[in-house]
Amino acid sequence: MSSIDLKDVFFVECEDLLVAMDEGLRELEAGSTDPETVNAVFRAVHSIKGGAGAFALADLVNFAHKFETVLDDVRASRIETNPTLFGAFLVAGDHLADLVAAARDGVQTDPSASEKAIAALNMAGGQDDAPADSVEISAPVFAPLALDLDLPLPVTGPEGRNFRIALKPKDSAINAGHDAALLLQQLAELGTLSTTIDASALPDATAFDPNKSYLGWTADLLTEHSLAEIEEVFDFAKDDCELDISEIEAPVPDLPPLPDLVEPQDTAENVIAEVSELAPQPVKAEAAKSKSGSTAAPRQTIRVDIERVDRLVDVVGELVIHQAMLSEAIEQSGLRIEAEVERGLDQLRQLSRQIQESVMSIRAQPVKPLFDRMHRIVREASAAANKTARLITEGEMTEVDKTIIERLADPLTHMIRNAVDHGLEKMEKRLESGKSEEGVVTLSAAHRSGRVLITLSDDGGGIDRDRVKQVAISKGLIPASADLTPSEIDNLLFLPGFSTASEVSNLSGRGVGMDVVKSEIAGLGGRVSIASVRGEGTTLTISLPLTLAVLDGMVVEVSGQLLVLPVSSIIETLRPEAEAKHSIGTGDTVLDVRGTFVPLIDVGTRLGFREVTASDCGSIVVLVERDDDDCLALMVDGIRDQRQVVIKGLEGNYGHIPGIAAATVLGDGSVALILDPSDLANPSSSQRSALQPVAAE
Amino acid sequence: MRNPNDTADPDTQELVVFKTADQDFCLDILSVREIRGWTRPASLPHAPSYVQGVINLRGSVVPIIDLASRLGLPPIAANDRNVIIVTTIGTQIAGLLIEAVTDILSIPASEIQPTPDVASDTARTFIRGVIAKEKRLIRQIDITQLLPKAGGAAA
Amino acid sequence: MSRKDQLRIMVVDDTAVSRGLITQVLDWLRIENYQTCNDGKEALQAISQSPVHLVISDYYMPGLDGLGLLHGLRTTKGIERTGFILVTGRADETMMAKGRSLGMNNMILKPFTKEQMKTCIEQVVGPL
Repeated sequence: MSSIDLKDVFFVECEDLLVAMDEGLRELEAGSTDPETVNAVFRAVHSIKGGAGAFALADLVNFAHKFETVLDDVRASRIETNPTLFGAFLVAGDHLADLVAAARDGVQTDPSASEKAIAALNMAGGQDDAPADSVEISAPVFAPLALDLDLPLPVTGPEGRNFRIALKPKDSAINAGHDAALLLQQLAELGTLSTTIDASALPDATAFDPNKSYLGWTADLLTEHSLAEIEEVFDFAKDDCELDISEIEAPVPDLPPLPDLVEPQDTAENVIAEVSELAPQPVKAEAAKSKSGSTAAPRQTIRVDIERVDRLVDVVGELVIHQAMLSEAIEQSGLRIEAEVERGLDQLRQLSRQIQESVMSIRAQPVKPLFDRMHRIVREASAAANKTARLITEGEMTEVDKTIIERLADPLTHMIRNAVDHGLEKMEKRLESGKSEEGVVTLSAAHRSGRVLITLSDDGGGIDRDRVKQVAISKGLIPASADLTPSEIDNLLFLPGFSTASEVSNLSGRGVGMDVVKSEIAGLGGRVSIASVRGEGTTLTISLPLTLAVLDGMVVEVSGQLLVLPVSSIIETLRPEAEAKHSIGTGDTVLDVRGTFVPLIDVGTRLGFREVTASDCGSIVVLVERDDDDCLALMVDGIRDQRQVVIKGLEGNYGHIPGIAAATVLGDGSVALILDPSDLANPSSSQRSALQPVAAE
Repeated sequence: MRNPNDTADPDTQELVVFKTADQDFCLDILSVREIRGWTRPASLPHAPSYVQGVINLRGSVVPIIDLASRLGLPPIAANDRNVIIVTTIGTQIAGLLIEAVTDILSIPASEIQPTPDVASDTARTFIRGVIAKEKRLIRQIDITQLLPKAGGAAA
Repeated sequence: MSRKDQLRIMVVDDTAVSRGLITQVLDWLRIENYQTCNDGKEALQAISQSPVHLVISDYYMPGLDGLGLLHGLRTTKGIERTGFILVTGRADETMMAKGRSLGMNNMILKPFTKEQMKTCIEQVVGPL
């Protein structure tokens, strides 16, 4: 690896190290007393410093060094921990991340930021003069010990494989004349054998029955012979014994306890955490095991160019489509299908599906890294707004397509800043209303009915609807006489031009409008909705489209078109009587489903495929789930079948269509649209009029 | 990559010439991805009348626009021999439904005249130039104007 | 064969960058027989199966740290005399005392130049 490549590797590794540092710092802040937590944070910062040193990134090295020194003092209990210290740690951690980014981008940073962070650390830490011994040695003096290389290299480690043989003769073995001792002797001839006897089943002398077998043996054999040769030993005896032969890894050498250390002159308290693990113990100390259990070598991962994954996803998608087309073509061909062909096609279908799911799962990642980044946003936003707030996250392991995760960062950041800035009340006001001084912002993710729901809620003052309405009127967004439902008022926030100039915040000079957030989400094919309770808080819900490539769909017929409904959203299908349909309000219909009235929608008219619902249409109703737990009844003309479909996005070449989630390609090559049941119910879906041809402009 | 709308290029342009609704049009060949036969598109809800629907183009879902209708002319009759010109418009792919491709010409930029000053907005919006050739008037289409605006194209 | 060709080395460090910085020097020295490992315990296991002349190891690692690895080497039959160079970005007296008592052969501070690493290795195995 050239120096240049290594530098790239360094910055990539820094990402992981910063994540580890961040997690550790949050655990400390949350009150973790596990010494391994501090160790982990120390190591992360230390590793960053080490790499930075190799590439002469002076600013980064200097700051990391100061940071690691304070961390070392905490590790060695030379400094007592306190909340101010953790606060200083978090700020220092943020600053370290900034320095890494600056080093990577070749940008200069403001030295005063480093100075501030260091001052905060020193103040919180207190100590200036650590005991002499534990102070870092900047120029260690060590007399090297030469190796006598003329000695031959020790004999290479044990050759051959390790097997574990568990042998327990049954009662019949005695009659058959099998002698366990003989068997074990034969095993011993194959290599190095060590045996343990299990005599636990042996009764006392009075109960002993010479015709019964009570003993068992476990033998570890290191041999160059094959498994077959070992099994051969038991050829005659195996029917009369319980026998298990398995290959095992070479046993790790047990470490005997460490002899007493020569202690440095001064205080005996200078014991660093690692040393205490190896201190003489009456029981064999397993120095190999770390106390906190955070030993597990990190999960093996590889980094892959996302373009390669995208190409793979596309090709696999094609595979699934063509497999479906092949099936259909064979069916249409009128050939007699042999059972073999049938089976083959079936297998092909299964395998295609499995490949597709595997490939898509490569791109699906937990939202955790994204959510983790939001903690810092909350810290900074609350500092700037002079409030205290904390972020709670839920469902961080929910998986979302990687491309979507990246594009969610900006909208989430805006939403969180707004929540802290405008959602949470000032501290005095909170106390007045009996709330805790510290505001709580909750960010959660979950899979629901084939979509991903991300909610952000604050426990602030809720939307001041009167004020919002006033602002909208004054900006000419709604007529003064407009009569709006609370929910409609809430949605005014999404109108472009709503950003209130009067609400200038320290953060960005002006609040980032919710209209920007809404269009960012729409660009992902998702939608965002808002709900608020005055005095209690506001919740924003982002609903993102299907991220998996293959969907179980129910193909339905509407107005001569084939459409697809996600099976995961379907509750049941019905053939209701005409009497079960009732009109309500102006032009709306509900369906009586066993006593509950469910809104009824004619998919054909809702999508603009036909003008009116003819009497013979829509005889079949599919009951589906909506995002908000309610259900919806969809009238379709017929149900075709249920099948797996490959999801194709529409946004790329066309844009978002209300009520439509995506599209798919059917076995005959034609396109079928995939419905988004929740979106179909939105009033705006039906009111959106067809765009006028340009000629009329 | 050369911008298809770059008329400052002093060299000749390669143009695909075609006919629809009894008129002749042309497109810069660089924006043409392929030319294919007609496939019945799947309808799109609430789509403008000139958007026929979407088809499957090797795995991508591509909208089909009846060019005649888009220009305010009567939509062309459904005919198996209609042709779809698949074009790249910025980052999007769209198919133009036309009657037939007639020619591929190399025209020096000097021969492209500005659109005559006529009353119709349509003409000025969609047609960026005209070429006189063998007694025909070939209208050069500005494809960037063809896709539906606002609710259709962007989020 | 020259000493360089016979020398078998194991590099142990939990970060890829640090491993890379050391192996860069080994490549420059034209030493070919080296392995790398990112975990102390795994390194110990590997060396027990297949001994090396010299281990160059980081100190601060999760699980078994550098001196823990050294202790493991010194107390395992057959590989007690394995050479050991401790690499660290932060040295203190306790660490050095422990290293001395475990018989580490040499130590080096990060960041190091390739000449410094060369000298450090040569002090243990002789001229390369």
